[in-house]
Amino acid sequence: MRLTVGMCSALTEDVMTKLQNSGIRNVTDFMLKDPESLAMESSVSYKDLYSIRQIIRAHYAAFAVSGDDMLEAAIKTAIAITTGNTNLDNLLGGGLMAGEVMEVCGGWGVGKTSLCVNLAVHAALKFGKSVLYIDPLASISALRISSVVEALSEEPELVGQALAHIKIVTPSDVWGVFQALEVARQPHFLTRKKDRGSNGGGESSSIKSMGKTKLVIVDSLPAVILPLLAEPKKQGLGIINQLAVALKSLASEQQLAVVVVNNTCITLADFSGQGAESNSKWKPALGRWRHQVLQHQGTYRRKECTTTAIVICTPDESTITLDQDLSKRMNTLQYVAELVPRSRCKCSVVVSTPLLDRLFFTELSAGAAVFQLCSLKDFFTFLKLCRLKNDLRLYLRENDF
Amino acid sequence: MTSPNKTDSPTSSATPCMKKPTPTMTNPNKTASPTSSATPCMKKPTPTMTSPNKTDSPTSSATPCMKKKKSDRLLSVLGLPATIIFKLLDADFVHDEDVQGLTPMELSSATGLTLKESAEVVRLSAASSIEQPVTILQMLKEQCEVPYIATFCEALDSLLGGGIPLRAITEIYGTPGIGKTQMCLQACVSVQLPSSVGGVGGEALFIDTEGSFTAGRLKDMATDAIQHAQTIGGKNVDTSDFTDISILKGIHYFRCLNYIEIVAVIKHLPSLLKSNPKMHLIVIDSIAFHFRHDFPNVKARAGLLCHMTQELIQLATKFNLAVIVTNQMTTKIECEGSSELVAALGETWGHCPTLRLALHWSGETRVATLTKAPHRRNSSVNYQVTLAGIRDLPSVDAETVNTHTTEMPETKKRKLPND
Repeated sequence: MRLTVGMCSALTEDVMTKLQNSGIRNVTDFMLKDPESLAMESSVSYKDLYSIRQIIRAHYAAFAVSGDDMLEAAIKTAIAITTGNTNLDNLLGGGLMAGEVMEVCGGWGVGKTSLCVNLAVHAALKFGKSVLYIDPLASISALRISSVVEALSEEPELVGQALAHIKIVTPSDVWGVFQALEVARQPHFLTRKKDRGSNGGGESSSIKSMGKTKLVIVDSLPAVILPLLAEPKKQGLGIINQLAVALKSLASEQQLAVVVVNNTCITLADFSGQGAESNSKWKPALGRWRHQVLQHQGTYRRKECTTTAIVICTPDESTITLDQDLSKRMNTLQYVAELVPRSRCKCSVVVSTPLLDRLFFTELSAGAAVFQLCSLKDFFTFLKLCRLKNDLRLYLRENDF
Repeated sequence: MTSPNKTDSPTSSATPCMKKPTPTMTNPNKTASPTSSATPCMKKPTPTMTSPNKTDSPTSSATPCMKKKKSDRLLSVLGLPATIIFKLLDADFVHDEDVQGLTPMELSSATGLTLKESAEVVRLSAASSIEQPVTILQMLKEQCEVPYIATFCEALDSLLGGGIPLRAITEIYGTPGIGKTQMCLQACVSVQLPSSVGGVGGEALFIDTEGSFTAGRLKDMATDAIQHAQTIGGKNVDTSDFTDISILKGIHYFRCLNYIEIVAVIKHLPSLLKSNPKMHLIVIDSIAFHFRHDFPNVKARAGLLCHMTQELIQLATKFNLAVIVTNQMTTKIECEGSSELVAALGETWGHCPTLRLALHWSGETRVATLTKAPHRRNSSVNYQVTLAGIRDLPSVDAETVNTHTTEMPETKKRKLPND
């Protein structure tokens, strides 16, 4: 949403010019400034500023929902795609969880691509799910697949049907990977038959539609990312960040499982000669990538993120369920603040208002959802929910929403 | 779909969705969720709402989700340079739709970009052509047979499943003098075997970085290959156009003196391949030579190698080529003080080729070990280098077709400690 004339009735040309003269160029600048001081600086009426703020806030604000419903929905929509290997399933706690990103890393030749191919074939065969295989290194080829296919014990028609559900995209760079992820969002997937032009007997291209994609596999992420990191510009890390967010939000919005293949590399300067076990020498490549995906830290400004912010609002008179008495209210907040670190979710507890406003706004502008907890019961439900989802954050605030 | 302790999820109606309200939506009716009551959904209030009323709590069935419009792409994933992205974000242009309908003039006045840059932004955001994916079934149908380049060594061919495969990158690494260049030369000759006798019938491109290419060796190998083809074809098949001259003519040669020249040749390949559609083999001998000497920065090297591999494999699949790359060996020092001989160019390079073949000595015999292959088990075979090229070791009864000569050229022998 842009700060343009006509955005609301209060934002006229005149007001716009005055705001620009005070150095307000975009929505973020506007929201971060205190309206009273802005009113004084720019000589725009406070009432106008307030109504503009309300409109922006309404546009970006998320809708409050109770934690109970969220838990119910999470329980209902949690599905696990089994991997076809019971040991692996036990290790993963049931299989590939929808809404999560799993990284497979290993040295060369150990079998990462083979594992992914098996995952894809199993998912397509046993569950009839569509699979999107993003393959920058073109590691899927008839060479690899034909032996896998021959070994399957199912009937040829079933196998053929299953193979028709696995789609392969070969992007040549990271922007191609982003585009390929868009493909997974489409509800009905279109495929195209290539014309056999060279033999003269051309088949006209036909369009078929498939079901919704439930598994996305990105084989060999370093193949597209290492060239970016090699450049002297710092853009590479930002793009990794974006890709991480895109994958995670794809997984959680579309409720599908994402598998990403990574390489390992040797940690430097680890020759202490203490005979450490071989695992400690190896670490997954693309170090900072893991920070973004596996522990969702940091607030992503202006990007879609899946961090859910829970807001405990001290309610006004009409929806009171927490105690209205001020001292009791503070006690409740303190109690909650103490309880939070003991829970297993990653929580940021912030009580002072101006800082919270800022965090709140940027969080919301990034697409976070807000839930209203009206009672402590809701709060405990929320804690239960944290066990299902690992990336929830908690804010406490004293003002009205 | 198995979910051990949980109920089966409902069908597509249960997927979380996010919907952004249009400015014209007048009734943000929160009590009526847009789809069935089982759908988790959340609507954002419209801009016309003046007081965000907390009493408007959603119904018990509504749970959090957001539905996106299909064209809601971020501008930052279009592949624009960072400076342009920052200027766009500064002026609040975040999604595709923010830029829709604007002329480049309007965009540049709003953001401070030059006219050329804003034209680029408008063009990229409007381009909505997503490459349609191919399913595995189609791929299998199109590539029903995988052609191989025979190495004329039966043991090696059976190790590889038929020979050096097309549409893949094969890496051959080993100590000096083991026969890496010999294998490359042999492949350059074998690829030209006419299809009437079961060969690929294509031409070869040789990128030489070490200066180890000798035309004399090629001639020896070619002579033998012609005899071989005549033997296979017999009287019925005419292989008269498969001559020394034709074989030597079918090998295109590039001498690269630094890594930049290698990259330049690779960049030039698409046009080369278009003008020579019969090209089915690319040999880079060796890829390690320049990358080990000219590169102090390991990260940059890894990035460049990945990039080159990507280009090569995409060309290989598109134009139906085999790519053979040779590599050198280096010593890796373990923690305990022991050392091991491994392939050069590091771990990252190990992920790049599709197949890896390690050549080493076992006493007096040359051994080829398959260390990475998608379709075969890792195992080893013996081979030898003869005047005619790469051949099997002679068995006790000398009735094998492969060994036409028993003359051995002077070979460089570097002895390693026995395994």
